[in-house]
Amino acid sequence: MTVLYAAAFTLIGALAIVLVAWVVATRHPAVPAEQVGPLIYRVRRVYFFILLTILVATLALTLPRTPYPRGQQEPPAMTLTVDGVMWAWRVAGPDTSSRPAGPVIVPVGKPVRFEVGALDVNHGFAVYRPDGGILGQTQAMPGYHNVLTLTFPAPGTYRILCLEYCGLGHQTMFSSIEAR
Amino acid sequence: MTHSTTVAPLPAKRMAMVWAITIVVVFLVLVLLGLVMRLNQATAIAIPPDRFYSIMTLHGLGMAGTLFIGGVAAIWYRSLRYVQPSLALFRWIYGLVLAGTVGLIAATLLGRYGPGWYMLYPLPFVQLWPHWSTGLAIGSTLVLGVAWLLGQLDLLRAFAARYGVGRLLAWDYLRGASPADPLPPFILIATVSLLAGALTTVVGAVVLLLYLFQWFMPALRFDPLLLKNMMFLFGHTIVNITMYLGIALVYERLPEYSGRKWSTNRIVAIAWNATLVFVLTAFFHHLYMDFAQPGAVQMIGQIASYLSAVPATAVTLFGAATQVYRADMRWKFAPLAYYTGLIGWTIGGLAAVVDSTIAINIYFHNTLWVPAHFHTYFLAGFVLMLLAAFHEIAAPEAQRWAKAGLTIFLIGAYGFLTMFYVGGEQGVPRRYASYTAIPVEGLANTGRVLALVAAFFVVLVLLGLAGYGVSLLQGWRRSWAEA
Repeated sequence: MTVLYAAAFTLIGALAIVLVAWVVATRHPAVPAEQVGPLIYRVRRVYFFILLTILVATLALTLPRTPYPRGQQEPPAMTLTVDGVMWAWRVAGPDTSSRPAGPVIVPVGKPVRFEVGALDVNHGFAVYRPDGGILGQTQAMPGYHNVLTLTFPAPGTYRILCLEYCGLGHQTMFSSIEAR
Repeated sequence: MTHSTTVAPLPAKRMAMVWAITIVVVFLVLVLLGLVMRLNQATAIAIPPDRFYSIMTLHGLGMAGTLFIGGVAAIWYRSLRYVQPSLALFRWIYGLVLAGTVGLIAATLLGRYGPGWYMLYPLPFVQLWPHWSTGLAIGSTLVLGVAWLLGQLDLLRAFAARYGVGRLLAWDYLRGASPADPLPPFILIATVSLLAGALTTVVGAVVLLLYLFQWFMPALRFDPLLLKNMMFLFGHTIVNITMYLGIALVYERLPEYSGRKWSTNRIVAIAWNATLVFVLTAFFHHLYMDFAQPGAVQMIGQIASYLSAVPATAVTLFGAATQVYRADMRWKFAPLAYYTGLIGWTIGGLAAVVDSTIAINIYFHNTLWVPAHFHTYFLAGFVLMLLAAFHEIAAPEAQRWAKAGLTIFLIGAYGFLTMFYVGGEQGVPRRYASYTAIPVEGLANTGRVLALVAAFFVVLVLLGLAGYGVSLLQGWRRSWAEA
């Protein structure tokens, strides 16, 4: 829903911008600049305070909702290690020291912790829902481990796509996670 | 107008015209490369991934570089009204830019160099393309960087020679002064842009020098996260100030058609000093998905990105409104293109602010939403401002074809952009040579169909540019002869 709201907000905003720009540019009759200045500056004052209020309120609402690891999170039901390597994903479960051959199975409705890195170049670890749309993502960078915690909302096959350009096989770098 | 007017000498105008035609032609070729990419994603044509990604790299580097130096060239010409930058240096810069561009074309189209414009470390050094092409691309980009730095520094020198270093950021206006020799907003905005540009071009040059060391000594290892920060500080700032160069042109040129003054005052000074801070700190929003970054800088990225909307809209847009609202505007091609460019810049800015929200970026990062927003403020924003600036120099009287071209261009541009936005909303990844293998239900087909429709709209963009080109040719001979 976040994506839909963001897109709808952008569309409405874009239409509003075009409408206002049209109205501003087509008003008649022409008058000297001194006559329009006070009106525009009055509107600007109101706009300034409204804009600032919206920006501060949105910052206050959204900054606590970042995907970054926090201390007080519910302990994960499972921790998986993920390594991006040209052009595949290596996902290791908690009960295996070696890489599992089949799709990784994760629990539905419980937090799963991914420790994401890369073995060669930068990759982008993105988990897509079975019906499309991104559930979550983080970068996979050599020398670093980015910790992403995801809760899989429903059973199904979630796909891993690479979302950081990583060379000639980038568009084929996929894997799967099975949520049960 | 309050400022003294100095008619630019003929050689300067001819130099500006040479820049103009070069930039327009290169831009046209780069749009064609964009069309090739969208056609490949639509499966209408089939080119191998190495070819696709080398084209993608050339398209990205080429567009960012061409539009930036085009903006600098337009600023250089318009600044002659106030100051005396070097004509000889700008001839040298033209040569350096040509040399760098030829090198990049050879590295990408012949050498298949294809790590994307941002050359994310260590991808350029993984042997996916010939070693020589990596070295040539790094060297060519360094040559371009030197040319850009020279241009920016010479303009800043010329500004300082007339107004004094201490006045260039309008700090006297912040103190409430009304100086006898007013600082035109054009100079203030150009200073903010070129100062940020020069500082970060040096950062970019450091990255490229490190890359050059790595190229000579493959055993070297650098920190990928540090280099990513540096690369985005450079790349983000160059792209961002390119738009501000366009805004400087709007401040300078709209008054010519409205007959109203657009002067520096305290509010304008505050706005552009704040913008200087925001433009240098907002780049962190490119690294939101690098969770290893300190949390504080992620927050700075979002706060700076949000706050940058305040001066941009409350000062620049309202300033533009005071120019056109109930004014006796002469809506020739140039003011139309400046004004519609301002609209595109604003819409692109809105989409950028949405994406700069960390909680939203997790769904949009590296999807088609990203090219959607930056193509909006470039294609439907800055490009229109630049086309306006060049038209004023090369063919100010040729209106009919230019206006017809603008109409078709706008339809094409917004149709093309809409496909990117829909793709971003659907989660279609960016920088994919092909969508066909994507295993997510419906996503491959969505990406393919959107690319096909986008390709149709790109053809309209090209037709619009053709109309603009005809108008340039109509006025060229006369403009070339007259100072």
